[in-house]
Amino acid sequence: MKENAPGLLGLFADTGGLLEALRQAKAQGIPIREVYSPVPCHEVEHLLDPRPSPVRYVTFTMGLIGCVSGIALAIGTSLIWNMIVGGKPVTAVIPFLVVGFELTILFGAIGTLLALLFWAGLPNRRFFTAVYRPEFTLDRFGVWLECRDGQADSVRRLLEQTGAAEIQPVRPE
Amino acid sequence: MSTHPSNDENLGRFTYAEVDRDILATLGTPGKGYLALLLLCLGLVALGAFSWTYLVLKGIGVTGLNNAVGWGSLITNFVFWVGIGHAGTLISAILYLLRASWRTAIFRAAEAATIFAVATAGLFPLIHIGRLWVAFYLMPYPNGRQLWPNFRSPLVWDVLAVSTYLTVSAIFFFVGLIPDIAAVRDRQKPGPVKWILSIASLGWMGTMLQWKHYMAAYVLFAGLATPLVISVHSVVSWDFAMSVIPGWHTTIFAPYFVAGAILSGLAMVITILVPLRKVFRIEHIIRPFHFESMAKLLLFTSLIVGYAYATEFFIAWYSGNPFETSVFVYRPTGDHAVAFWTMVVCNAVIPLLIFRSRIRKSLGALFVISLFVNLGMWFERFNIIVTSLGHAYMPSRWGSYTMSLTEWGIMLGSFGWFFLLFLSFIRLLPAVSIAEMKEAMPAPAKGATS
Repeated sequence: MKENAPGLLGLFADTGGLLEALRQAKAQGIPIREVYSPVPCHEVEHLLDPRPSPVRYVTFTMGLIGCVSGIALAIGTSLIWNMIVGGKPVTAVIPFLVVGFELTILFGAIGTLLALLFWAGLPNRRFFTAVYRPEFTLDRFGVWLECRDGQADSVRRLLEQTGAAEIQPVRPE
Repeated sequence: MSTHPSNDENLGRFTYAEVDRDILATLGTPGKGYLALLLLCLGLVALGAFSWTYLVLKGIGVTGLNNAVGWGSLITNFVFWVGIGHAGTLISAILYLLRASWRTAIFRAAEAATIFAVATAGLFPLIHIGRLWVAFYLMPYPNGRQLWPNFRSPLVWDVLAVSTYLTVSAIFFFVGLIPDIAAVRDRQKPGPVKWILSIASLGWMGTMLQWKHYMAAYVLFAGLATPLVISVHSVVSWDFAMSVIPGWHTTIFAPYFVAGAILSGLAMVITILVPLRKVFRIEHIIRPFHFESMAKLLLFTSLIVGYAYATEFFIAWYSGNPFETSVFVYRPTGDHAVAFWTMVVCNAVIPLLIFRSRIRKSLGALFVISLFVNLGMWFERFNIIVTSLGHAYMPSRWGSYTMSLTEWGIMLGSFGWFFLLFLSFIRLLPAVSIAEMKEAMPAPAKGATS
């Protein structure tokens, strides 16, 4: 993907037109650079990439690591002082499950946060120079289509026909 | 999820822009009433800080604690505040997983109440240990003392549970805020505020890639928070149930405490939201319908709590254990009978009024009931802690307990602290989630969900 290919940013007031524009762009082989929305939209997600987000694998793995480390911490530190406390065995399984459980949740949540930041590209350092309109957090859906050589007119026509409320040429840095 | 059915038909009457405008209007210049409340809270915090300083300088002897009753109002407040937090997680995580769309308008405020309540609760063990500079002994880390916490102790589980709860709730809360901070940012004129909000929103642009991973993570956070919230108050209950004190050593404590926590938390959310919606003129967003739903949950948890009270007495009698029986005779008739009857009337009797639809639909009535439940739940913790310790086993070790002025100061300070945090929050950040409100609304065109 060329970083500085010119493109057109179409702003839509509804998801119906947005979806239609995306479908047609896909059918005509026009590269979709970005789709913006004030709300999550399953249809669009499905159209662009139906694979589920990989965040869940990180959550599971980190949760597992948390569980094992919690129990290992409790057992390991008890064995350092091999002493019976409160009439319970030195490696008391049931009390240590509580430690394992809490660390499962803690590690799982931290893992999920890191995975989210990683895959969603946050913090987004290029925000200040990015192609963006403040309306995208208000009530406008946006689609940024790339215009390859001589495609500008057909891309503009596509956006017009699908009901874009506004069309803006963009050339990223 | 833009497609999940909304049982809140009212939302269909708004446009995205109207939702934005009305919620962001809550962030305007504060009125005189707000500043007066803020000052009152600051005053209470100062009183609490003064009392705590006095306690640190003089020692734990300035409290009413004694040889028989070694846990008193400070631990009562700890359990009370942890409990307050539970409604927030119930509303934000459990109701999210259950797709109860009525949570949308209220979950942000409830979630904020969770974090501030847990942040308040966390202070009390530090206050209670007196020498708070040795509190770090509780954290497990390799250290020069070659010592580790005793992981068989419920007090150490408590440290892990409450600190995990605070961390996970804060992550859940701040992740939920990212799109909303972006919305606030985009309505600002260029300047330092916009710049700060751009950084705070992590440069969120609402691209499909961001939304995809965001929604995936959000449901996972909700899934992690759900068992966590149940574990937290269970672990808090085990602080008591793992001991052999009569009145504490019982297996119903975990579910009993969790239900009580949700009851008290819901009451606090109602107490906060009734004035909030009026002051900020968001009556059309947070509507009587939401309060009715919360009232039904409050009634349900109140019934569980009432049932638990009865079960405790039944088991005390059925066990044939004289120590257990003795405590349960002492509770309704002894030195702290007022605490016991306040608890029963406020938590198990007054909420029964909610069975009447007219009361359930009246915000004024619900507000008053919620105040009673707040009071009752504080006395429940007091009743459990003080009467059991004061009346355990040998009559020669029985004792009584009265809160000292220092403890009153610290308790009032904790209320000031909680409401100070909450008041600051509602002026700085949207108290209703803008992105989720829009999500719960019908998409802006017909045929959008083809």
